[in-house]
Amino acid sequence: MKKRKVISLLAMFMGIAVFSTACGQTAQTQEGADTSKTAQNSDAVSTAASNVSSAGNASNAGSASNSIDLNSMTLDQITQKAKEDKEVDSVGMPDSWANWGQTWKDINSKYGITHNDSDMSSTEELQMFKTEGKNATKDIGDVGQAFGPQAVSQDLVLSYKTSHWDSVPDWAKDKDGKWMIAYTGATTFLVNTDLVKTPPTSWADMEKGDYKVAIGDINGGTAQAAVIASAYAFGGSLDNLDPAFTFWTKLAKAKRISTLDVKQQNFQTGEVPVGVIWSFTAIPYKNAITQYHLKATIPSDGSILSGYASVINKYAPHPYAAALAREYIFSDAGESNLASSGAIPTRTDVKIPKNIQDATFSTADYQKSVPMKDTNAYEAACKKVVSRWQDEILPLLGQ
Amino acid sequence: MTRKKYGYLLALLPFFVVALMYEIIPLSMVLIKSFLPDEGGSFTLVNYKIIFTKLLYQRSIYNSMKISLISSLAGILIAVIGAKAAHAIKGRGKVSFMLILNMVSNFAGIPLAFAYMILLGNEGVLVHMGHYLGIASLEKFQLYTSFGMSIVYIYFQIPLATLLLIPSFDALKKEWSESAQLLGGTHSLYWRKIAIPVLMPEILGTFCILFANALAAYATVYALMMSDFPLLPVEIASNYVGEIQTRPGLGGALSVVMMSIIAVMITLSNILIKKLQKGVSRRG
Amino acid sequence: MDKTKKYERIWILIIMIYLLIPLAITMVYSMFQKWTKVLPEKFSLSGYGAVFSDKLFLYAVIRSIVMCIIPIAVTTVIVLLALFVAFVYFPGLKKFIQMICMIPYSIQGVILSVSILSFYVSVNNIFSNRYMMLCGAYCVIILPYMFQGIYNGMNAIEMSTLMESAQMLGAGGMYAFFRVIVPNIATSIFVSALLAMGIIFGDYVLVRNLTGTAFENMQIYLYQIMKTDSVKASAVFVIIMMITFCITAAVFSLKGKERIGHHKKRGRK
Repeated sequence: MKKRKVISLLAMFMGIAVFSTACGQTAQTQEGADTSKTAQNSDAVSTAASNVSSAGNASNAGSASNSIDLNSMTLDQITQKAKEDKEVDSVGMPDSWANWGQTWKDINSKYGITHNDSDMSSTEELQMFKTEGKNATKDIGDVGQAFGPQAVSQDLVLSYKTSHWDSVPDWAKDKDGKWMIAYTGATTFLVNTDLVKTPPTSWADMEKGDYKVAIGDINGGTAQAAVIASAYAFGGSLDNLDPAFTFWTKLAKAKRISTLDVKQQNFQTGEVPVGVIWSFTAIPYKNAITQYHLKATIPSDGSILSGYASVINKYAPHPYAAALAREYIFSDAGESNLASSGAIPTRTDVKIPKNIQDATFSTADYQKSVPMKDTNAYEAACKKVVSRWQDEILPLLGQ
Repeated sequence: MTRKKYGYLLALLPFFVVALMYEIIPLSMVLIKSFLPDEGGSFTLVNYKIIFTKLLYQRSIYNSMKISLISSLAGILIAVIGAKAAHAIKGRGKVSFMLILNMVSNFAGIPLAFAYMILLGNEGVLVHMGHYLGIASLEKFQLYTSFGMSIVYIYFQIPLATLLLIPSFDALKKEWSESAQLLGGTHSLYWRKIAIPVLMPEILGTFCILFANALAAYATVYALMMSDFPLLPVEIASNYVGEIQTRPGLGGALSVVMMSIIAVMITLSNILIKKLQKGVSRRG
Repeated sequence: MDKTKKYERIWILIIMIYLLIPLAITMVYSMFQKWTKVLPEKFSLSGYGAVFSDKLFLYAVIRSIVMCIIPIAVTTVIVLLALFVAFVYFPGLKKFIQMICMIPYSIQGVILSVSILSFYVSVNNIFSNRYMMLCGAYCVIILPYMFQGIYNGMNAIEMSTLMESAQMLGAGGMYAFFRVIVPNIATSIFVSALLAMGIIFGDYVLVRNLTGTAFENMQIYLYQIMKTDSVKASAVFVIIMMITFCITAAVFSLKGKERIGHHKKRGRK
């Protein structure tokens, strides 16, 4: 009897503890949401005031409750403060993606700013900004172009226009500079020519082959883009994905879909003979892998152009370093780094030099690709791709 | 005497505090969120409805349970054989066996997936060997199927189970096997009628751990199959870290389902233990 | 009896070979530049050279080891105390504790890290410190292993008899516990602690989500390297295995001296 009493007492105590914390937590989050809205409204009024105060406590940027106004500072001021920041922490900008490695190296050698990256998907990056809130540990991120507007609507980012604002086309930037797209890439086939005797140059070629094809995790932007590109190849569009799914169902039934991720190591071991990725990852992979001969081709019948937007965390612990990083990314040197990975710079006044074109793709190759300018339509199409893949293709895989 | 007895409850306090802070509370948050729809709103069962009606999630529950059961059964079988063998040989051999087991139990996740890719993948060493030697089963081996996954799962179940069972086998009293021999019983009779029944609680307990371990395994299978093989932990993760949107409600509901499956398994095995214990007296 | 021993030895050999093959493969892969057919080509230890000259690797190893110590110590103590009280005084609590300890299995990885993060990050005191969160998360993650090992160990010895005899001889409750019970289940504790260490070493998701890749433990270092060069990554992994092997061997040899003493004592009876 005594034992039962003890157990029930403990259970009651724990139940009360749990419920009270749970209720307290939801109340807390509600309050948190309210205060951030009021902060937004008073932003415009207090910008001038916060300028003075933020200049004073640059090192305590994380604790400032109003957002910092980077646009009213000169480049020299920002450079100065960035050097004081000494480091920049990024999300989703690893060295091997679009040649960020070179850019981070340049920033280090030019300004003495060190760098750390945590690689994550676009959703995870915004999630991180959101969950961390004022206790942020990340400064700058690189998200799929569909996520720029999301970041703005959730008020997660700072505005910074950089000195190259005017040369960036309107579709590649938020009107306040809260996100800016520095580069786009084209759908690309990366083929292991040692294992595949007839490398495909188009989706039609691929349909006739006998090798396995990998596109990566369907929840990731790269795979979704691959399916949409295949839709264009077979006569479909963002609204009509049926031709794409006919094609992929055919491949699935022939057991030609590889379930591996399209990461460098899987190409390196030869497990993935043909992968569909972006031009700015295909070139770096091709250059880095010595075990096999690889060839990067932009499919002639279906390729889309999609970009990635630079976003600066609203509560970034090193906002000035982040701003300087963005400035460098859009500078001639930064855009050139991007171009040498196979990315297409968005700045209208930057032309890719011939030697880089020879090492990657010519501008003529890129012309074949369809730009995805309508982000809402693209986002909706991506959602359809995921749910249709789960309903139609998944049951045929891995059996 | 009674006051002293209740005083001992204090010893339980640190345990409960830690468990509460880092396990119970996060868990309750997940549970609560599972009843909230992702678009915002109040209490609803819509997440659970989605799980039980969408083919993808039905498949993941089925696949997860299938692979977990198979790999746990195979794992526990091999572990019993291994622990029994380790019990018989003492000294140096046993110690090095345990050393290797321990080292290999860290071999999981991407490194394990990578090793199996090199071994049995499309361009795997064994596959090439099968091609040269003309062994069709090796040459045609498909790693990226549910069969291939089971093989990989069994691999990481073995060290875990064996390590957990060796101490239990060590506790078998030598007197028991000696008396069994004196009474004219054979070696296998001893094992069948005395030792295994005595060890059943531990074996079943370890089986539950293996089951839960397999059910929750994520990194290894994700590296090999991405999201293309519907499994519960993969689906849960993709609801939290997808590219399009995070759906904590649905992810939470899936987690609750997973936890319930494990709870059911534990209850079943406890019932089984009670039934078996009826005839066995350990303090004899 | 000798014949049976032979069979047993064969079984153990088979199991060991099966378990060691993937490890051996990784080792071979790390020592050759190219392995596209049956036999590898171009022997080179450049992978290992690159790893050892990389300072980041050393820091990563140290960080991993440091992160192991506190959670293992904390969890061992709390589980020992809790199970001790449960076994001796309140047997009804055993199932309750078991339930709590089995739960972490189902909330591993993503869920645990996301829920802990979202709950504690907004609380502005010591608990929102990332490393505190990571410690707490690790304590919870290794609960099932510590529980199962210590539970098996306690089941195996006759706790109440031992406690009664100790108390009859005049030892107090706690003293009896620490001097009598614990040494008897020491094997289980050590085995579980080593298992737990393996879990923490192998953890990737929790570190990534809670402290970010700025805190590079071994797994994060491994994954970063894996993205660029799988040969070097294999070398890193082989080194990790060697380190684990050495630590385990050291622990075992320390314990082995204890146990031989025990055997001798029992033999005299």
